[in-house]
Amino acid sequence: MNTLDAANLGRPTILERFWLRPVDSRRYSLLRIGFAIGCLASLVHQWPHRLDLYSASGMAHNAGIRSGLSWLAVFRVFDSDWAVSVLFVFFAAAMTALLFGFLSRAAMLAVFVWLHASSLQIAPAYTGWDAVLRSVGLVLLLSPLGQIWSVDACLLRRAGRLPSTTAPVYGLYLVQWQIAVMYFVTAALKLSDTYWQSGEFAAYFYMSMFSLFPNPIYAQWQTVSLLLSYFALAAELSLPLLLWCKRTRLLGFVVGGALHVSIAATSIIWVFSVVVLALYPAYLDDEEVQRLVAWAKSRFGRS
Amino acid sequence: MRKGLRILLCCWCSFHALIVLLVHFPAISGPESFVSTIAASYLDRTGSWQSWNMFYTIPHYHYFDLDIVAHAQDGDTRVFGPILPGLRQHDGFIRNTLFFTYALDLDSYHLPRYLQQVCREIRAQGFPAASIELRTHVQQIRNLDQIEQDRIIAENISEIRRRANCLQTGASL
Repeated sequence: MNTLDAANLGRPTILERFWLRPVDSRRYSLLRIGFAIGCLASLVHQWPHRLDLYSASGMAHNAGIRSGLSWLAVFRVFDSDWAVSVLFVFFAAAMTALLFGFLSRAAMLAVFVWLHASSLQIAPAYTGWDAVLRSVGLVLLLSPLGQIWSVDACLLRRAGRLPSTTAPVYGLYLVQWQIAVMYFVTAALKLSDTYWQSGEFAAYFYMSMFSLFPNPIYAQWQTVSLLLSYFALAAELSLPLLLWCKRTRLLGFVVGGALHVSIAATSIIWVFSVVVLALYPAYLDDEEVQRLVAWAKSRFGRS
Repeated sequence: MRKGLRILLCCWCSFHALIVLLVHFPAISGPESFVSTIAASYLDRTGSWQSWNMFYTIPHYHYFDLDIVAHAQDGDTRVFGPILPGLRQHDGFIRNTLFFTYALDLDSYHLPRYLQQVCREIRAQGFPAASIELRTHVQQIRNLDQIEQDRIIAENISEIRRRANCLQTGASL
């Protein structure tokens, strides 16, 4: 958004200098793509069971639940089996459009409706990754979506116009902040639990219904459990700072990647890992995106 | 972008960032506080309400399943799966597990309607159910010391969690 270039800012206030600093628009493109992948993962995960919780013939019935955005509860209106399937296909198409940057703003609006309609409909079956996507969804709805690397950019060029190469940073900061709050609060809540304190959490988790490989041997590997539990706690507490600080960002990506890939590979909550990791590009700065692009060009021969 | 809009955008960004943090501090945003009132209203209107209590303590179940036992007036009994539509078996899909654990333990809103729906579907399948029972079959994880001794992860617990009269409405227990 070139309107926020220094020349147009006049005498910017401190808040403007902080929130509206122009940055490389490709950072938003990466975030848009990651967010769309996270949304698609969540929707595809629910597809085989869509009628169980979304249709009138299913189990959930949230007509009485009220919130400020109840008017977005489209599954209360379109609740027949076929209508639920059609809506799922429509929202999947919107997420795919967002992924490829085709009519990005309209696609983001549709995805925002999905996130809230879904949260209102399946309230008792709500997961952590739904909360992550919904919280980030509001920010992205009000943020630039990255015109670079999109079908919209191709259409603009065909019309003889150039897509914006810069955009104000505020959306990226708010997504970074949201992820940091999530990590920090979840770690703070765990610190007061005796099972986390004793390091027994991992042993119980890997014998629970959430584990892909439950085995009684975890009860004997209490040192391993202690290391895994403390690693998870330390990672959640330190990731906000590791990811924010440029000097430790690579370490943050490695630690966060290790945490979430291990969760995805060993438990049934893989969608959570996909959703959170897909939002990590929000932490990359201009120079890192440039280096990533240069690496991709040298590796794959095109941008 | 006009100056006024830029200022408005900056104020919203600052406000949003502050609220999503403060809402997690009960000492500041306790139920009666000004911050809580503002935060609750804002988060509700924007759909940004959030809680990050994911796995804040251990999961208790190694296995979680349910079934529906339907009783006819002539004493006949039949067992059905709990998943609607179709009265299918629970296949471990995490959202359905969350639905039942939440609805059974914390929520009185969804179950009566669910049990009515089950009654209707059982009768639609040709079984003249007069009443139904929702049974859970869980394997509750034992203490690590016990598991270490005999390598048995969990103990089986089956119990009737709800009953409903299919000739009337509502559920009991």
